[in-house]
Amino acid sequence: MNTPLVTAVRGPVLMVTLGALFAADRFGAAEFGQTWPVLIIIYGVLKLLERLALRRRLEAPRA
Amino acid sequence: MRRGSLIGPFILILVGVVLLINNLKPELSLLNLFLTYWPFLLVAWGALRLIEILVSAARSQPLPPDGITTGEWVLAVLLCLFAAGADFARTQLPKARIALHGLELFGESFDYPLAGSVEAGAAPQVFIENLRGSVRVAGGEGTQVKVEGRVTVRAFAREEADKIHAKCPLEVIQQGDRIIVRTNQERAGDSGGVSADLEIFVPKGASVSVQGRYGDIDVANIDGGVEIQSDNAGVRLAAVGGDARIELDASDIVRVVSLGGKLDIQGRGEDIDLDDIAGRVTIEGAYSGDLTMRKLAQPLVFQSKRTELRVARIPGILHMDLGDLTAEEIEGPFFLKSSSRDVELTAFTGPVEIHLQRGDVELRPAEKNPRIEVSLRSGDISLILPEGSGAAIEASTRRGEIVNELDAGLSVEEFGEGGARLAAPAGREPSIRLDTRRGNITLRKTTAAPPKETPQRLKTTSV
Amino acid sequence: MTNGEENIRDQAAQGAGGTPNTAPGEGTRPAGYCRICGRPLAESEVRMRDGVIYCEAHAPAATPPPRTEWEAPIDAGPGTSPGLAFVLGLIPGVGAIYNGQYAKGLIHVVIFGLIISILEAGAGGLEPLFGMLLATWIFYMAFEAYHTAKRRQAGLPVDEFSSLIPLKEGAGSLAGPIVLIALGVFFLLLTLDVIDLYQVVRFWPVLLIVLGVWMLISRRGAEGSKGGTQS
Repeated sequence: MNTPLVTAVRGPVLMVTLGALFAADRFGAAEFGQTWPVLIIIYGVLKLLERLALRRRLEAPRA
Repeated sequence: MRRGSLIGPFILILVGVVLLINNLKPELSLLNLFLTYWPFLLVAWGALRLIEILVSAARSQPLPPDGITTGEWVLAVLLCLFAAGADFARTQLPKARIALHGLELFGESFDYPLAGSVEAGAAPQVFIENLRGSVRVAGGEGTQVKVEGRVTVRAFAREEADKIHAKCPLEVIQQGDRIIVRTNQERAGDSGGVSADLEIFVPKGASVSVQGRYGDIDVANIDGGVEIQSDNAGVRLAAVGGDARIELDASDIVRVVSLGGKLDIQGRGEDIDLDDIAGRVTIEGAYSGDLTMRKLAQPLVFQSKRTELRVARIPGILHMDLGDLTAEEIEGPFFLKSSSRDVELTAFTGPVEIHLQRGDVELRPAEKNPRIEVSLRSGDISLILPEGSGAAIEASTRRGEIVNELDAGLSVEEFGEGGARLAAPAGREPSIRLDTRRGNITLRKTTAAPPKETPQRLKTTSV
Repeated sequence: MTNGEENIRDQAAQGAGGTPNTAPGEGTRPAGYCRICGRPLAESEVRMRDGVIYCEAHAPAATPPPRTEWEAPIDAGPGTSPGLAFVLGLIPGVGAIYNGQYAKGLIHVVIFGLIISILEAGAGGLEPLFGMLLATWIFYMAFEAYHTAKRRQAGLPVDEFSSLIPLKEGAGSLAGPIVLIALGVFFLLLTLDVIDLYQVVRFWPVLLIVLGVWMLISRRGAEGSKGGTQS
């Protein structure tokens, strides 16, 4: 079973987010101590999309 | 077989190359560049990997089960820790010598003496720029500005150190009324090999401006004003006649003793210690340590993210830290608005207004009929009035009791569920209003018994 | 929830060509219910994968390749000692490391650190609560290491993120990610000072209520798809 796109991009998306949050902290836009929950939210959203995608797959099982 | 990503190893090589070049040729400030922009490295890494995966998807190739392997996450975490750690050491640790700049730990330090002087006149404006290292300015007799000190260069060999040192000469220049003292460290490529400790003697009438990155700053004995700007410095001012303005990104202590003019402190720091300030004091920012003020002749305004404090005069002493505010002998109007703090005011005069979300408040006014307003979401209020006060008091708590040892004539009644209320005597406008949503209110009067011991901490003079 | 499962069930019934919704045989108890479509299965129709029951149509390939590196079974070494795992588990992260679950160990350490930071920053009145939370967490780590070691000792496959709390993988419930998102949003509102902890903390019993309601709904949903339709 091939990995869904959502699962595969999860890592890179999180890494980009992490980098962006650290950059925002480094350059004074928003402190990391305030922004870290964004990581949890994004992980949750990706996980949600992943489960939805897997459900859709199972409803139309591959031959 | 899973096709590995090329990006991870590429990042590792890139980091290695950057650090290597930094060691061999410290004058290019590669390390500094790296430490400034490292988060973008993470973003680039993730973005490149993302593109790799999207390309695979577009080509209908099997996608890797994990976008970023565990090993790559470990590398990324180490990168973050290293960069964040170096960043932290650079900006947050007070008095961090260049030794903490990362990999220069492996070099040696070479010292060179410094000297310079120039004729200045009686009241010059002295501008000092010293990126790294301590600066001590002392006012005295004479009309010269004299600089002494030493430069410390970190390098792997003396020849290198000589080369770097040659790039940053000490300059002491006169431009009319202005004297400029510069150590020119940025010419050495900013990757932090150079620092200078300066001792500067100026005419007593001078005013001084110091700009730096990190290193303590000491100014004493001048009649003019002082302006200080630094990323990280402990600041000490003594016997300064004019106004003082201090802007710091980080600091362990700001101590000002005997200032003839206004004082303005902005930025972040830990402790603040003020004694004998003739002008207005304004403090804005975030300070995580102890704030002690003695003998402030004019109003104090303190503003931080969660706290706003205004006091008209402090002939006595006021001490504040993250959890407490204690003051003795202060003159109102006194206004405090904060989220969480215990407050104890003794021997104060003038109107007092306190709004807290949480905290216990204890007030011992010096006058018989003070104007007081306290409102708390949660916390106890104790009011101790002088004998024969006769003040009109209104008090209420929604959950708690009111203990009245002050005047048998006042009547406390029940209020709502578990609360209590004390209404002002009929026909009189209450000058004291105490309100807490959860907590007890105690009203007492001072007896002839000896006054309460001043809490020890108010008496300690920090060294 | 119920709706979705019904849709899947109907489609599965039509797609697989099996008789929908009727129990196999007269009065025989089904041997199991498919995890995905909920169809009651006769003994012969049961397909087991990793201890989970599926019907013929929905059974994943016999030995599905590990979906992520993190789900590869961790081999049980000969010297796996659950007792030792318990003791080591008291130290944050070490229990998981003993079991070879490095990512989980890191997460354990991070959570431990967070609780300590909150305690140190002064949770203002809530210190007893966080103190208890810390104690609970320490013992959770220990017990979790113990159980994981026992499973490994028994030769059962253990994935990277095994835990005492049952986590459903695959196309499981959407509740997990939704809870995660809600948690993230909550923390964000907290750190951005949009809401104040003291205003909100008094509503914690709502969590119990929500948990109870969710359990009710998911149970009713399960019953609905299992035996409710006896037409």
